[in-house]
Amino acid sequence: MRAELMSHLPALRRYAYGLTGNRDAAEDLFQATVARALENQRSWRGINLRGWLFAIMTNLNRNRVRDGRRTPESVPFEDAPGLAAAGDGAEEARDPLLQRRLVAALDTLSPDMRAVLLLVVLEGYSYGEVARVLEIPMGTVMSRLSRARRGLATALRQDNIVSMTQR
Amino acid sequence: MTDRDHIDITEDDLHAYLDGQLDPARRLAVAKHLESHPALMAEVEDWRANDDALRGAFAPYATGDGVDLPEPGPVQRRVPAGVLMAAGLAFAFLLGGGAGYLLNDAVVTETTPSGFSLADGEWLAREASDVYLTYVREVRHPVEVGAEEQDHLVSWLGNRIDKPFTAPELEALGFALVGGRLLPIGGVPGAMLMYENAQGDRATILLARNIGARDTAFQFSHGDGVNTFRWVDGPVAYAISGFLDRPQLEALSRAVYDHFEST
Repeated sequence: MRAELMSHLPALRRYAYGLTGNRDAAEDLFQATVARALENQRSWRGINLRGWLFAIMTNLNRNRVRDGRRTPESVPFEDAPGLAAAGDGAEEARDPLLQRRLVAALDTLSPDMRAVLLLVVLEGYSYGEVARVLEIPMGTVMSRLSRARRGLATALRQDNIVSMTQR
Repeated sequence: MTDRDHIDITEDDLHAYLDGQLDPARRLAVAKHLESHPALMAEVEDWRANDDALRGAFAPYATGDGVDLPEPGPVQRRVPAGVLMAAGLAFAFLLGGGAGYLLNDAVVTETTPSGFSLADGEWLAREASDVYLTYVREVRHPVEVGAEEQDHLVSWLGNRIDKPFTAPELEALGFALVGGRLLPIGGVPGAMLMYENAQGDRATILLARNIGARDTAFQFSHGDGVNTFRWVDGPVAYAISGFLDRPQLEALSRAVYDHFEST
């Protein structure tokens, strides 16, 4: 399991950054997920390790948000913790303003919508896989995805830059 | 969406179209529908652009750098807590004099050098690697005392390990001091100094009171993805660890060695 676990870590970390939009929270969530997986490796039934890991992270993130460790509405947009301030060596290649806008737009989504959107868009999951990982019906996957895409587009539009396509 | 010719194109179809999850016939039907509905097409293209932006923005974080898993040896399997957390807790408890309160013998055994040959300093490489792995991903509190309090830091650490020292200047190699912390190493106080370069790569210097090793030249070891150079000089054992390649780590180690030789 160890070698396979290692192979999923990059995608898992990307998902953590997508879920949290903030380096400290992402690294905390990432480490907590790996620790939880190692603790519970006996309860892993040997199928679809990737799905199991992403399910653990999604659940831990839901708890994190529920416990109030994410309060985007209380953070002024300009001061919202963006990935640009993360300093992971990655941001030099990125447009920090775009990253902040995307994170702010993602923050307008509910954690459940956000998780579905990221699993599909960032991680390339099929709808069926998302349904299995999150243990929700297919119809729920589709409605969350729809609301997430529409919500993201609306938030980015309200950001006064009409569309990403015009960049 | 209510066009009579394409009455059966649903919202779900639009998403599945974007995500490549339609069969070819259905995909064609959606494409035709969009061609005759420019406003809807623009909306779908807007979603696609946002998806691309998301993928681009987060792709750089899909890295396994700086991640490593603890060895799944028989000892650690008995440790109930997550190992990264456990390592931090172990240090915290040892620092607080609470060793043995929470930790079972297995953990204590793991963090003491018994089982390694004292003479060759192998234990130190193991300790250095563990310390590095424990703190390298710490974003908020990798160090107890930051570099801005360097004088205080080194005098405090120096007092604790009975070895006055100053922090090496590694700017020429691109590394700046982040700070340091006190750690139990081999059951006695030790000091860890953390450095970081502009790319965010971190390296740690461990100074430990020598608990019985002979003086040695540089020795290289590798474990869990961490490279370590160590040497023993009289009362103090040193170890430099990082996810750096060997030449880079060796250059750092030479600079550190020169620094401690001349002070």
